Amino acid sequence: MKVMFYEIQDCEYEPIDGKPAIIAPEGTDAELLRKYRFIQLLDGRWCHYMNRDEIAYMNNRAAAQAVVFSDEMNIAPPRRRLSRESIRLMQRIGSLLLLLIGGCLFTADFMIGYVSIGTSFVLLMLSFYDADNKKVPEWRPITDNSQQYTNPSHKSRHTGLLVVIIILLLAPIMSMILFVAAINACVDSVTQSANDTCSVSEE
Amino acid sequence: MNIHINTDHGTVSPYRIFLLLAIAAGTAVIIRQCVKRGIALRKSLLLAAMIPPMCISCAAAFAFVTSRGSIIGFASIGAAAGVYVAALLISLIWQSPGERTILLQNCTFALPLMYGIAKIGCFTAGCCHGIAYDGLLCVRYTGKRIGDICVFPVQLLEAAVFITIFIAGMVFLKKHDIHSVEKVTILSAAAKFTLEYLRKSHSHRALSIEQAVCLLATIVCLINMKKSQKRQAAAAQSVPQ
Repeated sequence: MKVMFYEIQDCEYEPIDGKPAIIAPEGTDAELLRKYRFIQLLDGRWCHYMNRDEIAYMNNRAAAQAVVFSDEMNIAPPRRRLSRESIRLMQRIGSLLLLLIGGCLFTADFMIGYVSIGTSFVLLMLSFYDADNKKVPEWRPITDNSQQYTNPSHKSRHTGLLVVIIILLLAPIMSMILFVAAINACVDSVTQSANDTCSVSEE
Repeated sequence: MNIHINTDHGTVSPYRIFLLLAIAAGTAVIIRQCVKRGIALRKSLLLAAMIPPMCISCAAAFAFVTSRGSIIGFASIGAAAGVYVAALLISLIWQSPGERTILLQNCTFALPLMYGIAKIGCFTAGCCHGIAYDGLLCVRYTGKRIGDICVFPVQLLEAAVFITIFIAGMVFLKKHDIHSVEKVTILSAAAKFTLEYLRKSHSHRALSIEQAVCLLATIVCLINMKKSQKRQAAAAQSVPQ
């Protein structure tokens, strides 16, 4: 079945690893493919894994020779935000400062030997936590009885928060492990010194 | 021709520099491959931010756990696990179908480079040194921690082998070889398994934990390749003539 996927013509529908996907024709501009969230497989083909709205839309036109996805439909296209918006995001002063501080702290800690990676890691994570797209377009229901796709930004924020909490729990555990190991090393060196002193005095 | 290395360093040791270089180089490769294969720059940069701490934490934890608390250091298998954990965490935050596979594949391609550069750091520090050896290119380590020993430069050999495997992986990827991930994994596992026998730490042991992990990884990859070939054969048969 041929699929006209927005600006990308003559795509082929093909399930990949059991998931419905669209394969772009060979020779399509890579930037255009990245814009529409195509990813490159190991064999060099570019594919776009279809979401529920797109699958439902395609299922409703299963008998057709070709399926056309266009901006006039009720499905929000999977376009990536323009590059200048990404740059604007990265230029948010708070995120950039946290990233710099976290990075410098991590490097300095690691070089000097006091491995307080927990603090620097939390800062690094926090600098990206707010990187989720706040301006996700509203998902509107398709007129032909398909389910409304829920806004994914809330789900990814909650998952991101969960990850930060897990990391915050990991940091003290790692610190404790290193602390215990340092104590063991000190005890061993003291014991060794005592043994050396005993053997010298015996001599 | 012998090489003499004094392992008594000041505050900043070359070992740490090479470790950071290894992580930076690996992360750069992962970011480049991710962006090239269609992963958003934002996700790639978050993965880059997570890799260093996860890599180091897991490397330290693996060394500590497997040595039952006697060794404070970094284990390469733990570091590799940390890189994969970082990729899995990213795929949890942003659940896009297919992208988890791409992230894990790109991590696999970068790992041999990271390991190779890290081994140069090990060479400068005298850790993971080879068996006792006083032939050509033997390395004489001196220092308070290590004493005075002459050993085989296994770290240099590992660095050369793994950087070659990384280059081979990039060639496989450029040629769009669908089994490139499995091939890189099998080559890395075979190299690690074999070179482990040239290490001093492996003496008095038949099989180390690292070698067991390498065997397991090789078996998994071979099974995967077999399944993939069967799937392709089945797909080719189902295409109407």
